[in-house]
Amino acid sequence: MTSSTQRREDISASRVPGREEPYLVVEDLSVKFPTADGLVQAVSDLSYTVEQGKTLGIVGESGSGKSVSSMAVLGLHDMRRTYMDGSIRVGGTEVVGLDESKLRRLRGADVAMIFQDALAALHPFYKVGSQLSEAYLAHHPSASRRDARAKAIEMLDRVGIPQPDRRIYDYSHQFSGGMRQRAMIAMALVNDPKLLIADEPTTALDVTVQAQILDLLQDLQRDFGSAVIIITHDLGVVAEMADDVLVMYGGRAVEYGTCKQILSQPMMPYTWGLLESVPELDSDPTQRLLPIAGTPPSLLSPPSGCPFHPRCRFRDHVPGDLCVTQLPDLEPPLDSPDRLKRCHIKDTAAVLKTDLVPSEA
Amino acid sequence: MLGYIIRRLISAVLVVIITSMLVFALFFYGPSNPGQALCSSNRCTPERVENINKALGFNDPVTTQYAEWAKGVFAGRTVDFGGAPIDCPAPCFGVSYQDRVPVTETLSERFPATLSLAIGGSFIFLPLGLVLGVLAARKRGTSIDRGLVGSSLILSSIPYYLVGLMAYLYIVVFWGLLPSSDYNPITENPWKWFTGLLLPWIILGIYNSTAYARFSRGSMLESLGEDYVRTARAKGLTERRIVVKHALRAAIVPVLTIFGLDFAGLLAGTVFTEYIFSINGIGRTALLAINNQDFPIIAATVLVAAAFVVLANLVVDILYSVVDPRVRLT
Amino acid sequence: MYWKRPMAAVSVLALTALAACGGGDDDGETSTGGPSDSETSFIEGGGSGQGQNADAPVPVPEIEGAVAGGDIDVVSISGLTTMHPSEAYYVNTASILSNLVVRSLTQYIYDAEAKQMVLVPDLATDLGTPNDDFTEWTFTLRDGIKYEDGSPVTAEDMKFGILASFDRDTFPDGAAYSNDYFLNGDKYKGPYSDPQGDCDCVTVSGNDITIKMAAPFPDMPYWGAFPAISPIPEAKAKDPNAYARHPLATGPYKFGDYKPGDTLELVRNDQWDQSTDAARHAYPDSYNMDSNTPSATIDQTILADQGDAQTMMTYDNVLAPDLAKAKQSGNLVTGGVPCTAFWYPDLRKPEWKDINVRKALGLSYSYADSWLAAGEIIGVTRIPGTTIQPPGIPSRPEEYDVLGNGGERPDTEQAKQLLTDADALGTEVSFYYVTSDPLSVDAKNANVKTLTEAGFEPKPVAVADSTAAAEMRADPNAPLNLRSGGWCSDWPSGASWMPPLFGPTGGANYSYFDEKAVNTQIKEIQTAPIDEQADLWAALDEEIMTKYYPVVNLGYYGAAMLHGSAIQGFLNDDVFGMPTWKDIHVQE
Repeated sequence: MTSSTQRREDISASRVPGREEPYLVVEDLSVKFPTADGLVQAVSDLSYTVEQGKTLGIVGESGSGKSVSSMAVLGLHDMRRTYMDGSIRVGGTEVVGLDESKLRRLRGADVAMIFQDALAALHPFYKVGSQLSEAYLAHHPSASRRDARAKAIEMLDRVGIPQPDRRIYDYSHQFSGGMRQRAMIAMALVNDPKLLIADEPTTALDVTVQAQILDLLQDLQRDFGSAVIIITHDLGVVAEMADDVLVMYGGRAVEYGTCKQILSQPMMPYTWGLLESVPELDSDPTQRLLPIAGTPPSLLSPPSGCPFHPRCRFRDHVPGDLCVTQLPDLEPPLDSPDRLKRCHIKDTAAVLKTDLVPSEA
Repeated sequence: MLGYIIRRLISAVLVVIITSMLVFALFFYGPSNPGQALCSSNRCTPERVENINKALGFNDPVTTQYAEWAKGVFAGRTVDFGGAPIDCPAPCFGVSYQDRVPVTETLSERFPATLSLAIGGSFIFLPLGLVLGVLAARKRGTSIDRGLVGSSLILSSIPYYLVGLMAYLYIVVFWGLLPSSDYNPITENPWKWFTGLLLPWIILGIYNSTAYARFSRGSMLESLGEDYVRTARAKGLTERRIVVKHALRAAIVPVLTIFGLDFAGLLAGTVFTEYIFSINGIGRTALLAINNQDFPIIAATVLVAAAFVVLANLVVDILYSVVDPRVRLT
Repeated sequence: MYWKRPMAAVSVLALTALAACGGGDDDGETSTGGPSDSETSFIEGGGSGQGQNADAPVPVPEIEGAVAGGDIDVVSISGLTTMHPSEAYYVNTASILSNLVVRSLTQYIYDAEAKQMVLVPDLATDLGTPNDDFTEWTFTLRDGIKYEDGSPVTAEDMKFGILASFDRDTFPDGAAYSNDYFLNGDKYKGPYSDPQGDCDCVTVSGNDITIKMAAPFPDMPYWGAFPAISPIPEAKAKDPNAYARHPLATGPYKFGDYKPGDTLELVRNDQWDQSTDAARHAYPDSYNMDSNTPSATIDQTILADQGDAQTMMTYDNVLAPDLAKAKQSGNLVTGGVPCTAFWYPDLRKPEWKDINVRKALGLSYSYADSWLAAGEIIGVTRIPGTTIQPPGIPSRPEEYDVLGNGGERPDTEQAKQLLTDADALGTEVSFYYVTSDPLSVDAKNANVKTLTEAGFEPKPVAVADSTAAAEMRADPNAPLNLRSGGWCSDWPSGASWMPPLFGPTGGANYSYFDEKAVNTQIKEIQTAPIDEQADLWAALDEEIMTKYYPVVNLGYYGAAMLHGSAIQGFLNDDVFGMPTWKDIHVQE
């Protein structure tokens, strides 16, 4: 793996020449949960980086390990029930194995997270304003309550909630879906985090609100200059927001590249499948969608070799039973050194041209 | 809110009235012969039983008897056992067959003892149960958790009367650690009130805390798994703050509602505790009344219990809406 | 009388009815210090006289070494029912009232030498003077007696108290001897039920009170010891219910804090003049009666004898499992209780016509098995017997044994033989038992076994509770042919046994026994000279059982009471089977 690691570092380094390492560096992260049924391998050998001012989109199905890996960044797993291996460095600080008190200083201050269901994620019994103030006071203990309240109002205003001075006294169930999500974003940003992780921030919202939230996030990123990880299964969101995209499958990274690369020239059968399953506005309505056959792999006993092989339609492009016996390495494809894929197929571009109906990605 | 309270109070009164009718029906259509019970076992002739039945109006239809009784509740009445009539001022719930004393007087005399027992016991079992439950939830899966759950199961599976009796025998009689339990009014001697009730409080408290520990453990575990707890942690709050202000704040709500109903039950009289520890409260009175077929007391204690439970339900519902802003009472 | 003393552990259903028992000789063994003998042997025979002493001196001599002081706790599982003197008829209430609070015409004293209770004067100057045929009695009231509030006791008060004893409607639980024997007792309803009426049977002249009887009543002095025959000031007792909460005391103690049915505190009555009292001492400062205490805790607490328990006592019987420890402690008081338990076959029914069938019945009772099933301690709380009257009554005959089994064991073989000879195999025996009382159920099972073995066909009838049982017993048309119950005499005389059990108007004649010859004899004995009566009752006792064998003797009751080590002077008062309150004192 050393060579790929090196390559990745080169890649990221090549994007911003002269800088030190990116704000978030995840290296060979493995997260396993011992359960009664066995060891669940939620994340295996995952590596990626995110720089300030950039957005990384992590895409995958449920169970691909995308949320688990992000929660690991904040140290949100119960270490008594988790085996974690590898390294996560936030602003140079190693997070894996860091003790609670130091982790707490990071959480909500340097790194913040917003969740999918804002109604569940906000405490129903406390007013929204006080939850914001609480987030502020946790990291500014010398501030007064008045300051915290002012900050809460400011943040609500910032995320576009009208009459923020009144709304800080409302409970979360008194907000509409979109407003609630904005409030949660406000709470995450109240301490100017350098890294914001958004876990399916728009999945629970309808389309128009979704667009507003995404716009908001982009504005805020511009204003605050933070690094953003956006986790989603929605490629439309990725297309909007992400600079780089990491595709995850079965707990592993299976493809990595810029947004344009991944969406216009995907190099891995799973990514093809993902893109193909997205309906298009101008496609023939009678034409059947092409879902990816099969179900996500079991993380308890993952498939041998390539985790995608049971569902892959292109196994015949690989000699012998390599797909079944050997896990492909995550390495750059032959003709594109600045991206990564995990697939045994050598000439994926060729396969793309011949075997798939060309589509505008 | 006010409208809601008024409506609930009206329905509470209705429930109590219907309960009183049921109690009447049960007693008078059931296999009982109050005249025989009242008649002394020595010189009881069938004529004597008849006389008693007639004097007390037992031969009247149930509706008449009920009306008499209901009238007594609002306006008072005089009860005649065939000898000198007994004056029973409003609210009159009848006159005890055994003691010839108005029931209202007897019960209001005995209520402070039950109240003291309930309050003191609650002071122990509620906090103790909560603390142990939260501790078990925090240390879920560890030996502390298993130990707490296991010991609470063992304790709660021993019948209460056995626990109480053993405690009394060992702590008071054999080892002399505490003075024999007794109820002394707090107005007379606060210290004796305290020492006299200490043992029953402790037993009641420890025994009941097991249920609360298990219940708050479950509630706490659920609460700790909620998304907002994850958010709180992601905000970088201290563990203590997360557990108390976020998780416990939500977990405590169902515990408190159960407590409200439980407390109402305690007010209706903890029969075993009062009997074993010789506390002269409503529960013990009810037990003895049942043995003596002393219907007026039985009826009154049932009604008192019903009233408490209904009221407790109302209070709990109101409190719930205060505590959980999502709940709106209509 | 019906006595149901709490016989076992957790029964809360304890109704204690009054028993007044013969003063004769009984071996009220116990200890003031030494180990007690639980195998109490009952001394037989008439002992010294009739157990009466009209010339008892006042005041009663002090007990050597006794000092005043101490607060005694009296615990019991029984409840305290009414304490109105005109009504109190249960053993505990009557005993407490008459020994400690309320003085009557006469009273009992414990004679340590003769070891028996002796009837002596109380408020009267002697034991009364009868006319020739006992249809008129005159008593003279002492001077200088006061109530607890300082007001004087007058003969008018005594008259009013006597009139109150007629009032069955106001005092349904009370004894009815006034109604039975006094003139117009069947018509006069009492001062509360019939304020304008009068029995015209009581006349007052100065301190003299004369009572006219409707029938010869030789036992009037004994009735005069009841709390019902005590002075009540009419003006202060307008409301009997209020008076019941605080009867005016003439005795050494008065009511303190009283919660009816529950606790009663007795404190010193400073108006009581010891120099007028022939029997009572009043050493303790106070008594605290605590009822409805669980039996298990009573025994354990007193046996542990720690702290307050040293001045604690009970009049409940000790539980069988605690007997050994109780004997060892030296604080167990045993003695006789004037009660006999009977099986009453319904003599009106044809199946019982043959005396041999009745004898077979007697041999089919399971005796020890029943007693043990009921939690009795054989020889202590239940004593086998064959005569109608228990030991301690002067009119008790020498022991005879009709069945030849000593009154203590069944003989199902002989029973079967008797039944076969009488061609009565398979005779149905239907009796009730209380399903809610496990002891009753166990006893029933024991008896079903022996009855079946003997060739009867037992048909037990289930009833829900003791009230229903009492109902059945009292109902002459109930579907039974066998009733049971314990009879306790109200005073130590055959007149308190034969007439109620076997007389035509007997209140406890549950066998419906009706033999003209016996009825005549009863009437004759009641008018015989008083010093012949005891022997005549004794002869009648034997004749009834040997000639007719109408009932089965299921044993006599006994008392076994515990007290703390600081309590002295606690012996068995075998008139009631209760403590000798008058002699109790505290010695730390």
